[in-house]
Amino acid sequence: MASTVIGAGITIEGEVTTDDDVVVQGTIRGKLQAKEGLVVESGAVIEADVVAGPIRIAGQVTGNLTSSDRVDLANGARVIGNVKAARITIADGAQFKGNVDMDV
Amino acid sequence: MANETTIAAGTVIRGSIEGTGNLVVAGHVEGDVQLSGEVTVESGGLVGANVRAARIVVRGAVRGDLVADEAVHLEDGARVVGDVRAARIAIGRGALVRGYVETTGAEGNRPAAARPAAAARPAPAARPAPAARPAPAARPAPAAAKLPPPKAPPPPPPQRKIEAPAQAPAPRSTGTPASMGAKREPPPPVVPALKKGAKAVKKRSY
Repeated sequence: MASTVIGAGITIEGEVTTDDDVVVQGTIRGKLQAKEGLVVESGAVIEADVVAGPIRIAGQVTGNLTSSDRVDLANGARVIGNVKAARITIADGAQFKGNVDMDV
Repeated sequence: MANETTIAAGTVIRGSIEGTGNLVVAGHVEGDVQLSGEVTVESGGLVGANVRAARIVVRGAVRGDLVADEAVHLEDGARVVGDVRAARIAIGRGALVRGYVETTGAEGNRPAAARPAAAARPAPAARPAPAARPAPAARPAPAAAKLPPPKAPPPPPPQRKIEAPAQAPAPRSTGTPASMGAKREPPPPVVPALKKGAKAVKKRSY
């Protein structure tokens, strides 16, 4: 339970920086930087540029995603922005608009 | 429990946090916090801004105002620099506070209830006071033993006075020629001049 959880009903406007895992159920506007994994759960809203380790998204993200590992867009995810990562998966049912940059 | 937000140690947030639910801060938050639920600043947690919530529990550090609709609990390890306002405020042993603290009633009846409570506190405070008096009474005895030595020092002042007059003639010689017209008025200044002269003795003692 060392991870940071942004609960549903919470809105953060500003910059979030963490060394741990982050689970987002609420809203973040600004900037999000995590050294470890990021999970954006269904119902969560992120309007920010994101830099993190492995990223898993089931919610709504507007902004650029940069991962040192991989990005997974699950069913129900809605992403508008560019994605840069070593590996990217987009599940059936995920909405996505933006550029994809993988290490080719 | 879905509305539980945790800012873990190692997490830094620069910006405001607002919404519903509870918040636990073990990391750093530099921005206003406004919640409808309970905010807990854990040991090691730091909030560098104002916090407003229904309930606030602090075991870490806060640099900003704490405003709670219901209660503020400052527990062991809490360090608060800022004002604290709430209907009920508890400052526990080991908590450090610097700022204005005010209990405010959310309802009209509560402040009245709070005042008797405040009035009741002085009374118990008065009871300890008499209990404290016996202690000073015990002190007088040692103080009496110490009194003789203080009486001994008084003699030295006379000695200084004796030395002072020696200095006095000098000011008179200098003062009289300058102020011949007002001979009666100079004397009063001469008296303070003696006291000042005593200080001058210390300088001469150098």
